[in-house]
Amino acid sequence: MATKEATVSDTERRGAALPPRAENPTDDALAALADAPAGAGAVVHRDGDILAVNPAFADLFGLDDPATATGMRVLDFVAPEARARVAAYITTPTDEPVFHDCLRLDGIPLIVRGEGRSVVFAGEPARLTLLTPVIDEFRTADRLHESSEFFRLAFDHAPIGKALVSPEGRILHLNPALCELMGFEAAQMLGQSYNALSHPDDIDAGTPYALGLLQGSGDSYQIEKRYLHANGHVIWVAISVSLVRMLDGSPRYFIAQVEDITARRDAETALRLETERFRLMQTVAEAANTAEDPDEAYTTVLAAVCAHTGWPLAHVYRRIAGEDLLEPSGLWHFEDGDEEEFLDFVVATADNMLVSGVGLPGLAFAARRPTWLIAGTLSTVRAEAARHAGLRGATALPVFAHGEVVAVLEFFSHDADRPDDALLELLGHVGTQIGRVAERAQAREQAAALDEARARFVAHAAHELRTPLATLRTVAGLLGSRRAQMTEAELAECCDLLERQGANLDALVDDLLDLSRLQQAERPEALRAVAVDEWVTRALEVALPPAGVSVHRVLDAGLCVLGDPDRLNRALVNLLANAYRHGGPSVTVRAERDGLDAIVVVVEDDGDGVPEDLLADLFEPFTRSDRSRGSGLGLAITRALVEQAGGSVTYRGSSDQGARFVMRFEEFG
Amino acid sequence: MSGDDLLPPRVLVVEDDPDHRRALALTLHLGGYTTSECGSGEDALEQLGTNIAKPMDIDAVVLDIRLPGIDGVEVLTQMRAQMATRHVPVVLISAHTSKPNAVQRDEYARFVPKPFHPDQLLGQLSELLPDPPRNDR
Repeated sequence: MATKEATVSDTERRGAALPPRAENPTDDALAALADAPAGAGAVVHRDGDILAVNPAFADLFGLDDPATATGMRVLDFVAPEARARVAAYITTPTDEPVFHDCLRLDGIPLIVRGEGRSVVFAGEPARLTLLTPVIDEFRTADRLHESSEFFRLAFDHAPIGKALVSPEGRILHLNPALCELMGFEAAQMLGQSYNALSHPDDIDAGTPYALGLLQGSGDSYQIEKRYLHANGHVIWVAISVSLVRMLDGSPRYFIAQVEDITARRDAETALRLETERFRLMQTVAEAANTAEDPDEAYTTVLAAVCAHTGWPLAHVYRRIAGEDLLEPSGLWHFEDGDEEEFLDFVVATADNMLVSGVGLPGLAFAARRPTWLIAGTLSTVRAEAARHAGLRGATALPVFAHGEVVAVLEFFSHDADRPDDALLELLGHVGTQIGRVAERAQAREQAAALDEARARFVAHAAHELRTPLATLRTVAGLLGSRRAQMTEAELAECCDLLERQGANLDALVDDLLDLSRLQQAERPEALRAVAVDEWVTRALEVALPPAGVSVHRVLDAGLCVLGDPDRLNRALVNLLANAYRHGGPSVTVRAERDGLDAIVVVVEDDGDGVPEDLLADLFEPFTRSDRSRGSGLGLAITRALVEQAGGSVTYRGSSDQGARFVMRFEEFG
Repeated sequence: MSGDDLLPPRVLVVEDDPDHRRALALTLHLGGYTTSECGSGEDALEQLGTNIAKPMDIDAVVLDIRLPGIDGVEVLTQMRAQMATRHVPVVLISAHTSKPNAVQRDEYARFVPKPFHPDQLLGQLSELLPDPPRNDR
């Protein structure tokens, strides 16, 4: 250490102005320093301490006085990431020129080319290193001044970002366009690692190529990667990097050209997304068009949506027809095929019926649109199971057929990211599209039911026609073959039977035609005001009560319904006839207001009411009690008449209180 | 009933439609039978129940299938379950054209679909009876 201290004081003494040529002929270091052809030079002890520098060195590194360098370490002037290499170089010197990333004291980076040789300083071996600034070339007024200036202008005013980057990856110089692109001031970026501009996920995207250039393979590369703007948003850039070499081929610096392609990448991303969504809708549309039954379509859609979104799990809730109730189906989709993972959740779903508004499917059902929530937040049985299965997000979409929700498809994700609005809207379309399969299934069922009803009607009608025909044919047969044996009384009875059954047949055919006409007829366009008391009076003139039956009128005054008078009249006559036939001795016609704008007209009797087993199909054709002698068409016709006249008819009777038929109409006025 | 017996065979007509019941009775009278009539399965079983005490009273039954309450097929089943009526000939009639299974396995039962010519009924009946009326009335 004593030696070193002496050396320092010696340098201090001579630092400001270089001393005259060597006092000691073997001590050539200072002379060499003074003669340094390229300007800057430093004498460095082999332990890395600076022994002396010349004024050009001080100038290059921003020192006010060359003497201040003495006692500092070489590595103080070296960029951090280059220190290991430079340290190795100090330990094992080479006579080959080397390049260093250096830092001025004011933090401005520069690249220097160093050439060293062994010297003697204060009687001890040392290294003299002559430094040529590489980057600074174009800032100096040397013989390349004009072309350098041209280069600098082209660089600084380029519309795309440009940077000079040291072989170690430090920003040596950059232009305003790059500053603007990144949102940083030049001073904030200078000297920083070039990789610091990168998005964390893309930091090393260019490293292999840069290393390749340094190792001599090619002169440039182009990549696209993400940068992170000062305010945190992602910038997509296309980077073109060239390596500028020294005359001897060794790396000098990289020139990076940086173009903002965020808009293009966004457009590409949007296009890709659009294409994927289009494909999804194609799959959905195909399923909607070709699937035989809704389950087949749901299965396709579960898989397609999971493939599109990456959601791992999906399931179908079916609506119980006509009720605000959803029941879990056995239709599940496991995107990764891993059923075991979700077993508990599937089990928790199995018997989990949901009413409208409860649970995710219930919420989507009530809202009638795709609904998202964080899985496991609801206080339902399944929420706990969802949490255990690691499901954090859940999206449900209602399936519509003829405007009614027929099912709810539910999807689960491991993340809690809300699907964007475009995806939710898309899922809404999925629900409408796929509902067409359910619509077709419903239409098929309805057509089949209609066919069955027609067949049943025809079979019923045939049976009803056979009843009078049986008597007609038997009697006609007797008259044909055994007339001679008949007594007068028997002949008279035969005529009687023929007459009565002919009339029965006639009435039955009339009823059938009536019903058929009413079922096919359009509802009359113009309904009229019909005064209820006049209507009841008219009907009672036609339907006179038989002996032993009395009719009571209990009519609120001034009631007027909107309807078709002729049909109304026939309907009331039918109900009265029905009451006379099946009721007791007392029949009541009642009319009163029902709510704000409706009127009910009621026909009650004090009989036994309609037998329980007939109630379900009471207004269907050929529904009649065992003891009824009618065709079974009367109430079917009555219902058709009332509906055509703009109202509805229901049965509200009981076995205790007798039959009670209620016609309900819109009030007029 | 023996052929020497001058009393014509008695047929129980079970049919709920009164007009058709009358037409059937008329047919049977003209065919040489005497008749009893009733309109329900329950009534029929009651009348046949008296048959236990007087087994020879009713020789055959013309039985409509569609009846209020107990239907014709059930009446036939109950008849076959009783010793006194298990061999009483029955002609089932119905506006439904398919022959009921109960008739297929029963050698004392026939089925005639409605409507029918009176001779069809009389023909079936005479085949079932060991000793049908020899002449029409």
